[in-house]
Parts: sequence; structure tokens; C-alpha cells
Amino acid sequence: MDREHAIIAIQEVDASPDLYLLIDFLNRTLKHKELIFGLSKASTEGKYRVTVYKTE
Amino acid sequence: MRRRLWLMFGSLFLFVVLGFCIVAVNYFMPKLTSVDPKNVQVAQYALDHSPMDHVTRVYWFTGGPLEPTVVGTDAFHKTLYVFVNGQSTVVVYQNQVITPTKASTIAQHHEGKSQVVSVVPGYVNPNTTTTFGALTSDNAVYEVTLLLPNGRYAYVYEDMYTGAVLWSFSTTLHISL
Repeated sequence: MDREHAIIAIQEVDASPDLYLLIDFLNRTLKHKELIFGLSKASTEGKYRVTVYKTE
Repeated sequence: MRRRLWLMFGSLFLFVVLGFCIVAVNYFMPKLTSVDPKNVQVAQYALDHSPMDHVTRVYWFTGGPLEPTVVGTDAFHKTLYVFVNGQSTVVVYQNQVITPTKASTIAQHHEGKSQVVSVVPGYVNPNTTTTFGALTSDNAVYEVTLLLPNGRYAYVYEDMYTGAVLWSFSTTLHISL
């Protein structure tokens, strides 16, 4: 848990049951571009946060 | 004189009881703590950095660098795996990948007659220098540990999405049962 990935962008979106499909699709498609897409709960109720990381 | 004697024995008795209590607490307390603090820390990290709302289990994946995988459900009651990879988390939903049972079946088919010891979901960094980084298509893998009839252990790594066997090896240590 000590390695760090550079955060490129963060975007908050409405929580949706199918949002993970998009994140999964992006992770599988763009991994060779050294990108990881993270999905997490936002501090605002009913919102998710999408984070784009650049791996080393 | 008699009072002094009682005081001396009383003090000695209290000292012995106190010592016994200290030894007992030190011996039993670690056994009573069923939750690993490191697992709690990892579970909290997954809750804070993923859509996960409820944690059911924490695995430690040893196929690459030692990294935790947290299993749980989100607000929509869907089961998901959260791979804590560095400071980032990668989320994979159960309905996107093959089940651990299916992974076990594939591994047993690959290795022949064997007994499944464990199935651990894990994540391989796409930039890792190990063989796995080049072999896995989607980075999420199952590590299936099997006990072979000859007493050796076999480790089979499968792509979580396709079930394709990426890599396998068995230990050279013979363990008599």
C-alpha cells in the first residue's frame, strides 16, 4: 500500500448501479496506456467519484 | 506478631494473585482478538476508496507483491472485489468474472486429481516486471492452491475474466499427510 500512483483527474457523478461497467471497460481497455480508473463513494450522498491514475 | 504474620501472608497472596492475573491476561488476550488490525485497516481503506458499503472478507494475494483484496457489497447489493494497489484501488464486480468455484474446477482440470486448498483473488500491476504482468490480459487473477496426491502443492493462476490459465507451478517440497 506504499506505492503511489499519480492522480490525473477526479470527477464526481451520480451513483448508478451500472457505473462499474464503464469503469471496468475503461480499466480493461486502457491499461496499456498505463491508466487505472478508480471508483469510490464521494463525500456527497448519492454521488460516486471517478479517479484516473497514471501508473509508473 | 500474629498480625504481622497475617499481613505478610496476605501481601504475598495478593502478589501471587496479581501476577497470575497479569500472566493470564497476556496469554489469553491475543487469542480472544479475532480481528487482525491490518485487515481492519485495509477494509477501512477499501470502504473509503471504493463503492463498497459492506466488507465480508479480506484476502492477501501473494502472486505478485503482497497486496490485499477486499470482498464486499456496494449500495446496490452487488458483490465486488477491491484490489488495493498502491494508493489506488481497482474495483472488479463479481458478475463480471468467473466464480471461485469455476476457478477451482479449471485449476483441478489443469493439474489433475487434487484437492482445492484456497482460491485467492488478486491484482497484477500491468507494469510489474514479473511474468504475470505480461501474461494476464486484465490484471485481475485467481490464485488457486491445490494439494496434489503426492503431497506437493500446486499454484494455478487464472485470468478472472476468462478463466484462462496464465501460469502454474508446484512446490518441490514433499509433505506427508
